[in-house]
Amino acid sequence: MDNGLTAADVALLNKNDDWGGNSFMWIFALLILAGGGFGGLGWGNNGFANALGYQNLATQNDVQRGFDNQNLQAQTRDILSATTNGTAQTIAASTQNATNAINAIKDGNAALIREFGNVETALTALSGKQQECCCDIKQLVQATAANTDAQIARNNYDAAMRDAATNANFTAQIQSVKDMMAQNKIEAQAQRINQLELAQATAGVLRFPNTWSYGAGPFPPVFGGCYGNNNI
Amino acid sequence: MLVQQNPQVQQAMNLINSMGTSPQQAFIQLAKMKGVNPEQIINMLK
Repeated sequence: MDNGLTAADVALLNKNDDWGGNSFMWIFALLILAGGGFGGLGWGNNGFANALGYQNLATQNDVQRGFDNQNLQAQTRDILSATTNGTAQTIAASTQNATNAINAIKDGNAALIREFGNVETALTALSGKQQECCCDIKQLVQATAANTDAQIARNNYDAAMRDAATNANFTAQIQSVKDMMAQNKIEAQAQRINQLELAQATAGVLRFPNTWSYGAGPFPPVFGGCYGNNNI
Repeated sequence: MLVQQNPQVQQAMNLINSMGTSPQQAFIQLAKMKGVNPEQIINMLK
């Protein structure tokens, strides 16, 4: 970068150093501009300011002001540079921090949204399963109820059939007993009838005794014939 | 020694350091700023 130097200045810079590379000579030259390096030589405000050939020389105050100004400008530049850099760095750091924070929040939000999506999906699936489960339970209950009703009906039917069978059995048994009783009665009556008929038929008929009894005979005993043969 | 004896030398050196240029370039720039012909001063110092 050209520091505001003209071609002549550049030529002056690039030509061989007038003092063989001795930088201190340039410092002396600066002191001349400052007007105080060699105070006894009378440069600057020591009476030669307006002398012929020295019209363009700066006064001591001018040069001092130039030094001070240059220092001040340099310091100001440094301060500004540091401030700018610092400010820029601070702003950049703050911006980066903010960006990082925003990105972290965005990532967090994205993760949350994904989680919510997963939760919603899970809830939907769960809701579907609940409904399916509810249907299954209802069907099971209905089927169970139907089965239960059918079973109850079967049980009732079976019970009724058993009762009927039992009743029929009882009835049959009772009937058979009744029949037996009736038959017995008939036989008893028939037997009685036979007896009565027989009695009627044999009424007035001399019957041969069918029982024998033995006694002592008549008193006093009759001797003669056969002993003890009395017909009573 | 020269610096301790002459504070203007220190000042000149500080100026050169703050400008971040060579002594020669610093002199030329300052001369131009003050409207001084640097060749003239160089010739006077020779």
